[in-house]
Amino acid sequence: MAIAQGAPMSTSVRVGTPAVRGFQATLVSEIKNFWREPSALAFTLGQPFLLLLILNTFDFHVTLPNGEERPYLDRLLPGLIAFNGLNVGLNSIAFTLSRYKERGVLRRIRATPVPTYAFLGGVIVSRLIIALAVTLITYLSGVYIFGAELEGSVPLLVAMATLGSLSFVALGILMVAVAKREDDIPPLFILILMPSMLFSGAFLDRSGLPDWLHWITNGLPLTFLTNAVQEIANLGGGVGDITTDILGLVIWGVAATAIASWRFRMA
Amino acid sequence: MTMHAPARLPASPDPSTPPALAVRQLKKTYGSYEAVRGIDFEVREGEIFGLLGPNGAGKTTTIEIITGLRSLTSGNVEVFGVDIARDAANARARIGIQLQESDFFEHLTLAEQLSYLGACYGMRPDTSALLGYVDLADRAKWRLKQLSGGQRQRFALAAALVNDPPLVLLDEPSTGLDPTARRQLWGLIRALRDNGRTVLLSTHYMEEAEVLCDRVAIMDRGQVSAIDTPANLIRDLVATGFKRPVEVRDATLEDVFIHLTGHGFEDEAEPAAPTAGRRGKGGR
Repeated sequence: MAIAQGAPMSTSVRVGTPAVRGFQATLVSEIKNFWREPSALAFTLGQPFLLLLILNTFDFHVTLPNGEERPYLDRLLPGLIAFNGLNVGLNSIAFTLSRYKERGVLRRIRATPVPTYAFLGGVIVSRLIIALAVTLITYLSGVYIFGAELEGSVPLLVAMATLGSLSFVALGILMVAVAKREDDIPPLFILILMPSMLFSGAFLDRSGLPDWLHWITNGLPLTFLTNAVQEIANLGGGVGDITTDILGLVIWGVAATAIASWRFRMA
Repeated sequence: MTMHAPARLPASPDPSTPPALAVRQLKKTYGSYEAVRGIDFEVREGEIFGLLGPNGAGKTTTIEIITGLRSLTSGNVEVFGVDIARDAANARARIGIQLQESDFFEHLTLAEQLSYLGACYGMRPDTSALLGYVDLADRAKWRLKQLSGGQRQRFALAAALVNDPPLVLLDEPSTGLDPTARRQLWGLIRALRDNGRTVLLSTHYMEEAEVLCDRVAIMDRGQVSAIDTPANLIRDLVATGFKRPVEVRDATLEDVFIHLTGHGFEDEAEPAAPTAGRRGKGGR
């Protein structure tokens, strides 16, 4: 082999600060990583479509809080949009970051001058963009392929779903911060996923829950997000109708961020 | 602790310019365990300096402290006169690193990885020049998992240059490589020095320290017991009357290999061949 005789001496040009360039590059790389990972694509983009396909075969009606009878699909679609927030935020952040941590990717980045907040900021914004895309895909396929009929402002619905996923992003980073190993993530995820799927109202009506369970699960982050999205999409509610839910999500997000910034380590 | 007087190699040309790296009274303790016990050494601009010692000697800890991955317990470290504790960002910007037990993104191409790491320094590296230097120019669109062990280590070397650093730290760069891949890597490291960069590397291979390094620090159990050129260290030992026990054998296993295959172990191996090396796991 002909070893290059000259190691290039001046090969790099300064183009900005580590914080700004690192943030931008992380954002772009994370979207590329997501797009090129078949399982992430299937799980995040394929799953909502598959759930719609399967659950839409249940042909029954539900009663909305205002007494109106509607096909289950009309109630399911906003629930599914809320659930996507959990899926994109929590799931894709926690699994990806813990893998990076275990394999030493974070260690390698830690040894560069890029600040941790710039790296995490890039990861977070990449997930918000993905959450936005998934919300739009779920909304459009639910309405135009499956024929769901929703009320309310679509921009408000999309904004709520995307911002709601931010709380789950914070919870995802918290999971990575407290997990000792990559293997700790799946059980932690299931621990949050199961009660969220069953008791948040995203898939099943909460009105049949016993009072104590209803009371406890009122505080689940997915309950807040589902309430807000259903309020907008089923009852045509505005921001004024969902302040409690927004507050609940903000409290979860802020608390998770506070603990995560105390515990999170790149290496 | 015996410190051999630096000899032969010219000292830093101008005494007023700081050394590329100065490590003074560096200590690192974990509870009662002392990983590094107050070591001193200086790396001069333009040399290949080796930290030679067995696993557990404190080499990796020392390198990780210099890169800022670990905090130091006491002492100080200066990179071209910049104290790493006072101005970590400035010090890091001058250092290129290749770490053990670290990895890159699995779904990015080699060129994308280099661009990404460069951005973490606020720089835009010339990825084709870097890949060309480590003879991976035609692999720019490959993923890391498609590379052989030797290619991975060469890529890690290119990745250490994304910020155009004057000082390059290599933590056991050749661990796990076969002799051919190791020699290729040595050529690349020499090329770095020949182009004016300073290299600090750790190794537990005696041969690597002897043929590659301009000066070595011998490290054991967290302490440096000698610093000098390999030739001086050997000469000083011989001067004490030391005689190497000589064992005469009629043939070695290498002779057997040449006899059976008709060529030497290190002849003609093609670097791109997947068998050229295994991925180094690298103990500490």
